[in-house]
Amino acid sequence: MTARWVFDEGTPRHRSYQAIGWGLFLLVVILVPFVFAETWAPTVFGNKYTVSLGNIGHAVAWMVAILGLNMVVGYTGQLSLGHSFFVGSGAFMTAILVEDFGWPFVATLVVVVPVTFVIGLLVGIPALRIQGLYLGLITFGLAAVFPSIIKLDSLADRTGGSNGKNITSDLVPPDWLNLEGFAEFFQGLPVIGGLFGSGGLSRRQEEAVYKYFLLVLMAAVVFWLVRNLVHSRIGRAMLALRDNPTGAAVSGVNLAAYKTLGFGLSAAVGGVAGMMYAATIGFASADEFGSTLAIFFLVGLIVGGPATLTGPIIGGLVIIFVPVWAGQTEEVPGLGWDLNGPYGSLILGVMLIVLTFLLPGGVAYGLRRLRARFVQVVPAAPTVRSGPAPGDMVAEPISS
Amino acid sequence: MKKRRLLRLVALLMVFGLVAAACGSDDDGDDGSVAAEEEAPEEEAAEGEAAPEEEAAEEEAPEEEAAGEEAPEEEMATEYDLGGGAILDISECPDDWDNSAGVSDDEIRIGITVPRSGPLAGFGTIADGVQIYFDNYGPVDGKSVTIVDRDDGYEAARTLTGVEEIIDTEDVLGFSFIIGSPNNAAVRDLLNEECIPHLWASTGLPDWGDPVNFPWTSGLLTPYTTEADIWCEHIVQEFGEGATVAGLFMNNDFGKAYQAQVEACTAENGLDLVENVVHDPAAESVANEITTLAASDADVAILGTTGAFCPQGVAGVAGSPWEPMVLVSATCQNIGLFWDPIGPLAEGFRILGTVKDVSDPTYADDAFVLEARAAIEAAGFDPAEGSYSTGYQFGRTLQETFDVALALGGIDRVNLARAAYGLDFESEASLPGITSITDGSNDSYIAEGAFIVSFDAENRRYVEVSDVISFEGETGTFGIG
Repeated sequence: MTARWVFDEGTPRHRSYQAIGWGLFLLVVILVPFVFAETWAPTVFGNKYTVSLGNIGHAVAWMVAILGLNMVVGYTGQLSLGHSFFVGSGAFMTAILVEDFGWPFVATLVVVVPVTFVIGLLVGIPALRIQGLYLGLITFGLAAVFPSIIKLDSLADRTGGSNGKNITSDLVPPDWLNLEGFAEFFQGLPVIGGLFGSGGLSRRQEEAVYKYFLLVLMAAVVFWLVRNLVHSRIGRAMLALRDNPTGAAVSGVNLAAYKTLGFGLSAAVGGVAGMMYAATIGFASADEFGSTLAIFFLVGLIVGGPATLTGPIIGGLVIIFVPVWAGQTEEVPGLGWDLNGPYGSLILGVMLIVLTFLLPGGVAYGLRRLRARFVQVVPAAPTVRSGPAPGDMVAEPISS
Repeated sequence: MKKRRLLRLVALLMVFGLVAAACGSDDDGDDGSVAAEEEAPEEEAAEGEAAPEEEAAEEEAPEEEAAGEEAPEEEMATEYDLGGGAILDISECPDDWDNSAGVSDDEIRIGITVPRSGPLAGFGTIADGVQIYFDNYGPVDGKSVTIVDRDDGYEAARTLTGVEEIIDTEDVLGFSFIIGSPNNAAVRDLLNEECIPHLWASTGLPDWGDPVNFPWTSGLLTPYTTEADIWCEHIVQEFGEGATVAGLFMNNDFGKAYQAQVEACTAENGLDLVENVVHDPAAESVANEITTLAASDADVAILGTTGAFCPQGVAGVAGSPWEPMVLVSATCQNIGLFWDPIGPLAEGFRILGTVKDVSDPTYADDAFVLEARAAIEAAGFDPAEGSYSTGYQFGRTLQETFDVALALGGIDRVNLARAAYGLDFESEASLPGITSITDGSNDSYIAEGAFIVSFDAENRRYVEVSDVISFEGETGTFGIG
């Protein structure tokens, strides 16, 4: 089977192909908030499906959370069912620092990242001896106890106990950022202008759009960092450890160090996701971060595609919008069912089973295979060199 | 060596990246803290005004004074006394706030979020029940009432996104009957900041009756603390002073609200709390705790818990040689859900009775019950199933709120919030003799009275075993009882 378009890696043609791809992606990312600020809700078979910016922001936070899980499950090959613990820790630390100590949201990362990293390392230690299902059980225990820890009497003053912690501080767009102007520009466009609603943006919508861009920017930074990490020596060591531990050890990979490091990094990324959650939702409740969420993350990762970077993006959208849309499906033509019930989880479960058979490797692999039918990139021959490893090149701007 | 250097560099890079990110958005950080500072005086102002009738503008930040002065003495006042010094201050409302949002010539729109999925999906039909009530009741002020609902799966975060979505896209007057304590806690700040009525939070935490700090929020259910007071009163009626009590409480805010008040009211009424245990909400069973209680051989067992723990606890007591009077949390009222599974073991436990159960033969001829059954059946549902009847009963309270708002000058956001703290009626949905009265911070709770009823397992119904026990007007406001 030959693809319709063949590109040689590194040629100008290939670069412009990449540029067009990224450009389209960026365009969608920029247009989405303006379309959905007015919440354009498609109606299918009499069911109205909403896509609010609140849900999109929530999904972006969960994309980062799943990316964190991906580092342990996808890249290092360890089963972790306790990721909600790290995300929850991040969310509550942010909530407490912002609400009680008046920190700006983003500054809380200075605390959240190191603390969750250390917690992750500690959790990673048992992983040195315990593998597979047993590791799954231990990490699952973490997720299960998290709500109880948050509700402890001694912590309830800070965490809000079972009522949860409210964050009254909002992310308010700075004055120089003329989101209103952008919205009016899009609304004024011929033909497609109607998609963007009318009458500019209300104060709340402006805030939501601003929050969205902030979250997307943060997610982009985290994805970029993880991408570089995966392509670096550390990433290759993790993959080797996953695919063939003995071989990796023989090649000089310190298994113990990389396993714990994997957990630590995964937890730190999870903590960032928690911070993003707190920033977008403005509220942290203990029961949200229990074992159900941990399993949802895993479902999101498997449906999206483990050990890929697109997988978590798809996964985050799936675990937020499938339950929301399932709840908004009240009628299916031809079926006389009363569709009020826990159908969101059911659909997620069915997706998990079906995709395991039809698209092992998740939606991301499916998309890759689909793309391979049309586009083929012929890799450039590797250049032999004795220079620094790619990881060093990433770090160069700082060391110089 | 090289590996270590690499690790260090990556770590450094991440730290720099984070610092850069933190500094890069310094603006919003500052904005965030400014917003927080601006909000702080708002609360202080509200508290300050509570005692003396001061001008709110005096305590506001200078740049906001201008905004405050723009609005004065046109056609709307900026402050409304809800009673007892609780003030509804609309000078702090957002610039684009619209007092009559959600009310058109022919429609009034009210938002609600309910769990239609997840473990508590059974409560989802409350939204449908409220809609059925208004469809049956007909127009209010010549306008039909539309309930706009969202599924929140009982997750507080989804309640919040659902409420935001409704505010932004559905043009509603206010919200009513949001279910669950964390869920209401999640939206209370938002709705009070946005000056949108947050009526009849459907949970029994005492927090919702706090009009001094949250004038737009009101609570619907008997506060758990008042429920405990009613239990104590009933115990004194049945056993006299000196009776012994053993209590089991769920170890969370809900159970602890019961526990604290049972401790207080047993002491006040000369009762002896001989055993006082808590159980983990995530526990498999409460069998061990029931054994501990049984060993006390107290006159009364109190089960301050909910869900499957109610039938477990009642069945556990029934299966032991201990024969106390068992009082169970009103959250476990639903016969089909909690009591049918244990059949005859449920015989005789006692619980708060507040509303007429539509499937209870005692009220088979009651006008309101007949009307509710007919309306729910006409809508194509079974009145005995789901929570349609609960929603229908809730609808009566919302209708009364509309009526009072209308009497205050028309249905809008301000009048709706004022009406919630100025009700005085006896709902046909309630058992006769139970009053529904609110008066600002003098009386911040609508449900303060109840009967004690005993369960008749054979006929699947509750039988009244006490007169109405009412703390009407005595509960005061949140934090001051």
